[in-house]
Amino acid sequence: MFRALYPRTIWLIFLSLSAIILALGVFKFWMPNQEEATFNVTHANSLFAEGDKLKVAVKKRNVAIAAIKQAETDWLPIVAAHTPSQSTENRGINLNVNQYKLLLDTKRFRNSIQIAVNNQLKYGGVKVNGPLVPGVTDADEPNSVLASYYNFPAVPFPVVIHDLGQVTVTGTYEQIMKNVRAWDRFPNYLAVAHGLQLQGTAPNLTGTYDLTIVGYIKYDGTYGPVPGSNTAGPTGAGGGGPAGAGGGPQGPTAAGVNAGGGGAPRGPVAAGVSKG
Amino acid sequence: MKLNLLPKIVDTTGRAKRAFFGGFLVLLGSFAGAYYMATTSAQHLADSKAAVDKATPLYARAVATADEADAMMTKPNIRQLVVNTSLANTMMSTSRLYPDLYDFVKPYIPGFFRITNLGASPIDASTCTVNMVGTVSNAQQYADLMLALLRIPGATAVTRGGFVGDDVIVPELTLVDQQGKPRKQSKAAIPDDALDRLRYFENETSPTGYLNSGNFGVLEEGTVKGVRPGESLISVSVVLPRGIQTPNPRATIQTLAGTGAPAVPVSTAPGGSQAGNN
Repeated sequence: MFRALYPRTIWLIFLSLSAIILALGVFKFWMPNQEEATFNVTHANSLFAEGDKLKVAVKKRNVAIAAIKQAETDWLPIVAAHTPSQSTENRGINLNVNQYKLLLDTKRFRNSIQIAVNNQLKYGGVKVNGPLVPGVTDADEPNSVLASYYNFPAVPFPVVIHDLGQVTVTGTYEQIMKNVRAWDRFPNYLAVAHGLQLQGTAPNLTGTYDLTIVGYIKYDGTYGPVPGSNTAGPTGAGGGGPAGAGGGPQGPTAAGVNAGGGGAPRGPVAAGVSKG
Repeated sequence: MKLNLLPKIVDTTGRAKRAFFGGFLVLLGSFAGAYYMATTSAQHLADSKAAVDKATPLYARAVATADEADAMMTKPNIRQLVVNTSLANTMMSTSRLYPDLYDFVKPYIPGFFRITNLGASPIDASTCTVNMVGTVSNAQQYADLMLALLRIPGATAVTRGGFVGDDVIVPELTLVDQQGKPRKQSKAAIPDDALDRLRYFENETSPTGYLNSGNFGVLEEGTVKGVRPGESLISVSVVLPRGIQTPNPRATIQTLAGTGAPAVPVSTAPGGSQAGNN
């Protein structure tokens, strides 16, 4: 049969068939496989690169663990020294009362804060033109006191924050410095005194600074809204059941520290932390 | 004579046969090439997949570890704890920033610079500006003050303003003063004519009593003493590498809003049993 064909025709036939087969090999196998392999290699390299960051990730985790432990360690003495008492008898505030009582207690609590601020303002022997701590009035809606005064539950834990504005103190340079530094040790609360300016002629100087105080409130629960009120009360997580296990007194505890079963001693509470 | 009945295209020299075998070999070669490409690329693909399979667990472990750290820090109660502790610690150490700064700067303020106002403001987390307002008596003190304040360790810039000098100068020649007699800059030319000069000095005003300038005659305690005659009230700013930024408790605490529901439950009814106490 081939004898009837020109040799070049035979070559063309076979070369065409060969080209078809080679094209099949290139386009069907070689190129797709190589492309996928290249992609895989790139992907694998990026995975290895990320995998090599394991040490960094471990370090990051260890730093996080250390930060949490450090925070837990630091928080307990802060709670002990710089939060108001949970007892209204002891110039503190107990939020776990009905809203009518809470309104009255808050008025007394404001006075307690004012007393604390006044005492602190006189530190160092200076004369003071001090700020008035804001409070609540009987005209206020009882169900709104938690939200308006204790910022709860907008903030996940009750806290009083008062930007008291400018404080003016007069005295000697040393007295004023002593007065300002003492805010670092404000009992039962935390404070920031900043923007200190001195004016006048020594030894009688006038110092002005801005003052903000913060009081983290220990709490072991809050009441729901009282009826017949226009404002919906604060809502919190969970129902009426105790959060603590074992049914013992729900002793507040430091954040991140589980207090364990019932009967745990009632201690200072860290903001917004449950006891499990 | 032989009769050749074959068509002219029929090969009689064996070239077609060789072409056939040659072409067939080429065809076999192409099969072999195609096979090689298929097997080799498949091997590459398998190797690369194996590499991916090997890298994936390492990657997953690293990501899981990193995510674990992130998850740890973003847990609502942990975040609240860390933020609150950090805020409290910062608050307990920031009220002394300004007193410490003033105590630090005070030794470098020269005695001749009588300060009436001292303040400071943060520029950023690590630098601040100390602003002073006070009095100096002459241009020499005005210059010396800058050098004195530049001695404050780390002071990067000192700026000044407000000095009003009244130097004694040699004036230009005028019709009344052809000698250029030295005088204070604020005064008129001193005449050459003796009688005019006498009148000039007679007309010069001079204090007849206590000036009470700058409240220096006020005995009331706490009165701020201002500028004395001949002094200038100047303001000076010094840039120092000290951080005096203080936290904003309200803004910081409000960042925790929405980080989790209250952890302590709410009683269901007034007068009812207290949550968690039974």
